[in-house]
Parts: sequence; C-alpha cells; structure tokens
Amino acid sequence: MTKLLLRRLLSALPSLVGVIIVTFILTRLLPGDPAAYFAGPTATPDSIAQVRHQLGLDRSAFEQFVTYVEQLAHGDLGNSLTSGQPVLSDLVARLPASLELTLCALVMATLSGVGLGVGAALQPGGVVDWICGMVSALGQAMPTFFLGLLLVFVFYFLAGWAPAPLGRLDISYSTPSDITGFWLVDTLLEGDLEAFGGVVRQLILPVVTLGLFGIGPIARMARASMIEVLNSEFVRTARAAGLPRWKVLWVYAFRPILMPVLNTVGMVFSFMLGANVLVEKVFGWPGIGAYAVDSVLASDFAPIQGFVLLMAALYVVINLLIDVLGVLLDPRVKFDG
Amino acid sequence: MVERVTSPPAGRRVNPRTAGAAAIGLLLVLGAALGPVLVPFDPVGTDTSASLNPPSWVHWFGTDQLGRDIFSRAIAATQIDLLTAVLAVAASLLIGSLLGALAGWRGGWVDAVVSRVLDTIMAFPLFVLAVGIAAALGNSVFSVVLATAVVNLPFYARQVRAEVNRRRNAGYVEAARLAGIGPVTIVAAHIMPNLLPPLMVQSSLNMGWAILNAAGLSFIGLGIRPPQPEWGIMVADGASYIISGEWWVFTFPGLILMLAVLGFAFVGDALRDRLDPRRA
Repeated sequence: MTKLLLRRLLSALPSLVGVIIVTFILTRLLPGDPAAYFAGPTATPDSIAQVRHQLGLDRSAFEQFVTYVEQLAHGDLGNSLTSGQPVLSDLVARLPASLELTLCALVMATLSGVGLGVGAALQPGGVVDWICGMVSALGQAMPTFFLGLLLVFVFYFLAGWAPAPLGRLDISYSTPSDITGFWLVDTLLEGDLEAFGGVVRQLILPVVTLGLFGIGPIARMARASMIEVLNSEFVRTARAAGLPRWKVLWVYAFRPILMPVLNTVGMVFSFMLGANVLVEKVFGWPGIGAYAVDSVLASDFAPIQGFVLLMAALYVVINLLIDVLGVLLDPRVKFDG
Repeated sequence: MVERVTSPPAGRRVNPRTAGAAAIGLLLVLGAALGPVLVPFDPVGTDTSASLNPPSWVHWFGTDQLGRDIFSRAIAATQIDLLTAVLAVAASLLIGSLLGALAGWRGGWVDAVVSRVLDTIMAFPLFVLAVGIAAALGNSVFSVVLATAVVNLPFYARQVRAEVNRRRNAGYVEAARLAGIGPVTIVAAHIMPNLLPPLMVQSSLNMGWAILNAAGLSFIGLGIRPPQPEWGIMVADGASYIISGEWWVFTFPGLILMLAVLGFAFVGDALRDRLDPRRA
C-alpha cells in the first residue's frame, strides 16, 4: 500500500516538471521585448538594458530556465506590478476564498449529480431521467458567466432574495478572523451565526453557477454505471435473496459506481478550476481567479504566470488524491504509472 | 479501405432535435456570411442620444451604453465567434491528427515524446492554460485561436494515436505495405479514412466548446478587443448595467451565444448517431 502510494507520488513528478517548463515557455512568448515591458512605459534605453540584465534576459534560455527553477524552489514567483506584493503572498492570501467556492460547488455538483443519475437509472425514460438529460444539456451549452449574470439579475435585481454580488460577505457583518481562511468554518468557530448565515447567502449563487455544469457529466456517469450494475448478477442474487430494496441499492449496487463517479468528479474539478476565473469575476469574489483577471486587465504577467502554475499544481495534487481514494475504495486497483 | 458502411434506415423520421440543430446551424452560417450586410444598424456605430434604450420596434434587442444597436452587434458577432471556433478546431484536428499518426505509426521514442507533451497539456485545467497562452500572446484573434487549439490538441492526438497504433499491423495495412506503398500513403489513404467519422463527431462536439472558450476569454478581457462586436465582450459590457436594471444589454448576446453552442452540441449528437452507432 505505502509502496503503491510512493510510486504514484513519483509518477506525478513528470507532470509537475512539464507544468514548470510550460509556464517558463509562456513568459518567453510575451509579445515584444519583455525587458522593455517590465521596465515600464517611461523607460530609457539604459534602464531597459539594466532590467534586461536584472531579469537575466541577456543569458541563454537554459541558464534562464535554471534561474527560474531556483526562484520557484525558493517560492519566488516575482512581484505583482499592480499590488506591489510578492505574487506568492497575494496568491496564498486569496486561495482560501477560491477553494471554499470551488469545494462547495464540487460537493453540490457531486451530490445532485449522483442523486439525479441514480434516480434516472432506476427508471430510464422516467421523469428523473428527463430532468437529468435537461440539466446535462443546459450545463453543456450555458456559458458560465452568462448563467451567473442571469442568476444575479433574477435573484438579486428582480426578486431581491440574494445579496449584492460583491464578494464573500456583506459589509454589515463583521469580517471573521482568518483561522482557516474558509469563512464557513471561521464564522462557526467564532460562534457568529449571523455572519455564518451571511456567508452562506453570499455563496449560494456563485456555487450554483459553478456547480450546475458539473452536474451533467457526474449524473451521466452515475446513470450509465448504475444501469450496468443493476443488470449484473450479484444485484440479481441480492434481490432474489430478499434483501430490502434500499440495501440492494445503496449498499451493494452503490459501491461499484463510486470509482467511475470519482474519476468524473476529478475531471469536473479541473473544469471548475478554469470556470472559477469567470465566476469570480461575475460575483466580485476575492479569489485567485479574480486576481488573474485583474492582472490580465493590467497586463501584469507575473501574477498570471503564478496563477497558471498554482492551478496546475492544484490539479496534479487533486488527481493524486483521487487515485489514492480510488485505491482505498477498490483494493483491486493497481496504479499503472 | 473503409471498414463499415452505415446507411440510415430508409424512411427514418427526422429527429426534431436534429432538425432544430440544422436550423440553428443554417442561421449561424447565414449570420456569419451575410450578417454584417443585412443588419439594420452599423454594429460599431455609436449614437449617444439613444444610449441604453430598451427593446423596441426600431432596436429589437435595445441599445447599449454607447447607443449601439444590440441586435446588429449580436448578428455581426457571429462572424468572428464562428471564425475563431472553426479555425481553432481545424487547427487542433489537423495538428492533432498529424502528431497522433506520427506517434502511433512510429512508436518508440517519437511516441514517448509526443505522449509526454500531450500529458503535460492535459495536466493543466483547460481554461487556465488558455488564459495563460492568450495572456502571453497578447490581444488578437490569433492568440484566441491558438490558445483554444492548443488546449484541444490532446483529445484529437490521443484518439488518432490509439487508432493508428491499433491498425498498424492490420491485414490490409500489411497488404498495402507488401504492395510497395509508402508509409505516408498508407497512413493517409488507408488508415485515416477509418478515423474520419469519429473525428468528425469529435470536431462538431468540440465546436460548441471552442465558442464558449473564445467567448470566455474575451469576457475577461483577453483576445478580441472592443469595439469589435463579440458575444463575450457584449455580455461583459452588459454586466455593469444589471444592477440598474438594463437587462437587455447582457441577455440577448448571452442567449444567442447559448443557442449557438446548443446547436453544435445537437449537430454533434446527430452526427454521432449516424456515423458512430457503436458509441451512440
């Protein structure tokens, strides 16, 4: 078991190396002269040459890559021109907001996806199956940012049920102290139920926006695997043995569909990390996605590079976790590199 | 050398979804080809006396903050949105097929290198990598096309690689080889035709995604620049007016964008039913 995990950890290394190479190449694609770019609009030829030397742009690509890796190893992702802060501390400060949003959306998509999928499998062609198909089609075609704006318009402007789409908590509440960075947890730890309610209200719309298009793939996978399992011999045997219906379904039939569903959840998570960028912009969410968008608008490249790197690293870690969970769920699974 | 020929059963009823998809597809192509000529107003012409007018008989979809006619802009945007998506999908189909065929046919270290590169692209969340590429390349239609094409590349390349690899030693390939036909011709004329149906299905399903990707990039301010009419930019413009109740600015471009994506998804589904019945 430990050996398996170690092997899987090692197999994630090439992905990480690839990710670092790609982000390095991306900086070298910057249009024009990066030295002139980093020196700013008021630069003289002298100061550009100085910046070029500072950035090491007068050295060979390989030397520059080595420096880049060294800086990464020291956690140095450069400085943001906009905030004046090191990119790493900016990202770390904003990461919990993004994670809270994404994880809530993932949980919502997984629960409703599995529920819909299993419901559809029990009665193919039935009402739940129809809803399942509709939600899938909608989630596939609906642009995330458009759905977010539509929800804001209906539930904030027309109905007045939702709070203004401006961040994690309305200013009328006291901001929780950063214990975990997850405000759902922090407000509870402080015993501030009112603020907790405020955080929940603020989360609902962005979570639905981000979660909706994850429901489709999860529901389709749950439906297909469940139909297959329900037709299998062990389920027939369990039924013939007179086991109660719920036990056949949720104990015996449910376990084999966990693996394929888990893999789909991993894929959905990757989509969500991307869609996060759009959802955070729509809801004024102070996470790393919005940070990347602001940097795009300010043509500030170091934060974008740090953002891409962090997201890819997160994704590699999540894939690792999912594989580990897979082994725990199904001891027959062997890693194949 | 085609392995199977599937013809639809005679007298089969046309699926309403397929008909709807065909209608949307036709409208899109018409909009892209003739839109800029047909629309009632200049898509970039501003008129400050008519800013933020609600939908009316004159301005069907209303006007935006600069008094531009949203209907005209939404139709004119078809051209750029469709063009970026078609170019991006064509590029990933072409380059992906070439890489995949090379890796699948040659095997060995070529295969290892190509597979590693593809794995690396797949290690990124797709939209995040697209943002990184588009940000690095600067604001142009080209950078959106390239960003969309690169993140899509692995899907085509992996499929072609697996299929070419599987057929490398098939009987008809051996026969062609014995007949003295060169490897390029074998791959291009004997193996690839078998892969066309699934690749066509893939491209069509991919088109909707490519449109979403391009619109998403311009929504956050990457790629295509205003005042060029583009669905993502138009929705972004409208976002600021939701709180004051000018709903039409973001709604109509968003709906048309959604319709376009839905159309391609349905065309893809219909194509799959026809061409690739094994996976339907």
